[in-house]
Amino acid sequence: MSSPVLLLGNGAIARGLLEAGCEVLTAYPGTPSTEVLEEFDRQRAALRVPAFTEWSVNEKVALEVALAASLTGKRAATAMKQVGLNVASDTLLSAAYTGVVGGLVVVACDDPGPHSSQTEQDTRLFALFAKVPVLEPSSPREARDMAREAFELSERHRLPVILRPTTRVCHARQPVVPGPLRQVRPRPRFTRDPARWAATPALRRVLHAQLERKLDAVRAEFEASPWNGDDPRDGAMGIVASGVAAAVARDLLRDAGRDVPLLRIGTPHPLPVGLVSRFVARHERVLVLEEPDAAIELQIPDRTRVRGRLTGDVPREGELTPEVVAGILGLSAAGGTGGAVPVAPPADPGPGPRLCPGCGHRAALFAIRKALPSAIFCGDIGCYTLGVNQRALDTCVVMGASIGLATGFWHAHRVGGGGAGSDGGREVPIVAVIGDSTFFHAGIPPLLDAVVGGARILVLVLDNATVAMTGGQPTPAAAGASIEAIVRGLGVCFVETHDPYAVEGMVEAARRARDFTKRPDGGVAVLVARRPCALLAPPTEKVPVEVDPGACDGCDHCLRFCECPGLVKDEASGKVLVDHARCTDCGMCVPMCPLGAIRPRAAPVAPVGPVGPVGPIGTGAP
Amino acid sequence: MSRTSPPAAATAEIVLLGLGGTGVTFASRVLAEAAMAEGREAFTAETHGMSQRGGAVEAHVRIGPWESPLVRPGWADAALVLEAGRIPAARRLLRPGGLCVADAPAQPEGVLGCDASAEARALGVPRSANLVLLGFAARALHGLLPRPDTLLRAIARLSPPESADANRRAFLRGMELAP
Repeated sequence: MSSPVLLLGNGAIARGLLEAGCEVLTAYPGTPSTEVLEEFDRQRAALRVPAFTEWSVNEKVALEVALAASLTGKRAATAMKQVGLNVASDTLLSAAYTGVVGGLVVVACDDPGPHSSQTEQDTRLFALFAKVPVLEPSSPREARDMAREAFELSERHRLPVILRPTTRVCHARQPVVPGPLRQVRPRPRFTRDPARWAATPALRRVLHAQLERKLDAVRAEFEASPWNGDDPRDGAMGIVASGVAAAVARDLLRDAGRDVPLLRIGTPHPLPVGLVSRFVARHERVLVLEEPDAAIELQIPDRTRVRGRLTGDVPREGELTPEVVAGILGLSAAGGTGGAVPVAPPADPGPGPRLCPGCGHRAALFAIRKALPSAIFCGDIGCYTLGVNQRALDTCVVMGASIGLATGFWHAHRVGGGGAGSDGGREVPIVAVIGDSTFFHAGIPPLLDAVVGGARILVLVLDNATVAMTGGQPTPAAAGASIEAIVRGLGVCFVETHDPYAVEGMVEAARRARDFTKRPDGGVAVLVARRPCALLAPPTEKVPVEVDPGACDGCDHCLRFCECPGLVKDEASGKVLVDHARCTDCGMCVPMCPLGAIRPRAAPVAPVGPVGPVGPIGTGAP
Repeated sequence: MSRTSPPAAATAEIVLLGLGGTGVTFASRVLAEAAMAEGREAFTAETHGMSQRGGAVEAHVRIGPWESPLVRPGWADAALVLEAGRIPAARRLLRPGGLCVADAPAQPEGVLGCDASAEARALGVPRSANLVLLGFAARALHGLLPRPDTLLRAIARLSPPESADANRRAFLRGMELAP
């Protein structure tokens, strides 16, 4: 037997995919799912296992690429965060009807909390809607096992299968004993069957009937599945729990010396209702612990004795941390000693994230706001969402929504009367701010809509040549895709590209772009702010700066609108100082001081302050 | 290194706090790998994503037969704090009698301070302050953490080649500083 390896949950999932002989893995990066593909690539390189992997343009494309591989008989998987499944949903629902050939596994990572997402949506509820089976691991070790077995389940029933871990599985580490690799590598063979793969609505009804029978068969299998740990005892109280919440409950009860019958569910959809109903019938009261929503509770046919998220006995929102579960179970807050310890006050969340020193986004956001101070700024998903700290963003919805919202704002102002983009006669510039990867992912259709509909908006594309937020995955530009060429191809006539470090140049370009949107022959204007991510390509042309204490009056303009970790307030003098340990000498802050108090200095200074949070993510100390 | 550690505690719950980029995750991996090398179970929880952009990050390391990764507030045996501003947050996680070491120039009440950042800079390895503190903790919290020799081997295994030496020196310096 191999010796255990300490694996990140996402690494354990990758290991399971490899052990199952998965030959195609596609993904779009998103916390907490990103490392599934990265770990798959790292491990398969070490094992010399051939496979195709790609960072797809978006999750829908990712699922389609994997689906086609399945139709040729190969085992394929796709990995995404939960909101990515929203994007891929159209394809998923149809694929449930048509079915699959080779095993097809969708790894969709939920984020109770939420820690890094716009919603706390529950993929298991999505699976109810999509009529797709779900396996729900409670630890990295189980995630590996389920990732491997999910292909067998998928092929037995000819259905896509969702593997649904949560953040505390994805980003936990646990020793995992590697298992053997499946050596089967089927030759790709697509068998034509238009009644299935090209089914028209009349035939879809037949496929729907088949799907319902498949789900009945899966449910019957789940009634006796080893993933569900039954507890045959009866009593006043029982617990039905799944995922990390089940593991947390078991740890807490063991620590407290309490023994409560617990039915652990690893197959939340379709729920083995026979198994669960028998457990419920053995107890006077049953508590359901699950994350992030009430997918199991909702499927229990008779909920008279059942308490959970739906009844409010479990908080309706938020992560089921040990603290929360202990409260629900009535366990004392005493720490280890059993003595009376006051309940700790809520955690101080600590400092929030900020754009890194040297980040080109900071300069671009400062410039667009300076050029168009009265504009409505529609933001998007990425590092630059932090521009909200710089008062440079007014909205943030989902991937690509900046351009759709900007278009809507323009039309809404126009339909209200008073002319294009007006607000009671006052001209309101409308700006969409979107990153490069987000533009490729979901920005192209709304930009076409803006052009076709005649919306006079300004679109600022922040191009740092990477998916920075999730650790620096490549964008389509790495393979030659050109934002400018795409934009021109969509019919945009004003396209300018600038280095955001040249702040004044960006300000002037933004004003020109705004003028273009107002011209009779004008239209949508696109500005591309191009500067590589400072973490991947730190600025080479050093502009060391200093603050002239005689000129700085402590107005905090730079702290509020530049918001660079390299600028700090000196509490004693009330003036701003440069923290040379964090400053990257990018020099962008020089034009950001209205008093000219931040100025270039002659020579670089050796770092003297504390070491700042400026490393590449995910590595800590290098 | 010559000192013999007492037998390890049956279980240990350790929390690490800092800001994104201070090396919280790396130090937690070292602890877990070292615990494994000593034949013990380990379970960690990490912070990924947007918080790593300089925001507050936390890692939990549970050594022992746990099924879940998070340390319950008020139950941690030890806290390693890589940014002094997070000491109050660490106190909330510690059990009564739990021990706290922190990268701090002074000695805040109830905390074993070690000016790890200054020491790392003096060594010429400013990014390895986390390992100065880990070395300090390996001595100051002996019996609770894995042994220094297994920690050193884990550091050697997990460090990228270009920083392996810096990390090793930082750890050894931290051990020297411990009371």
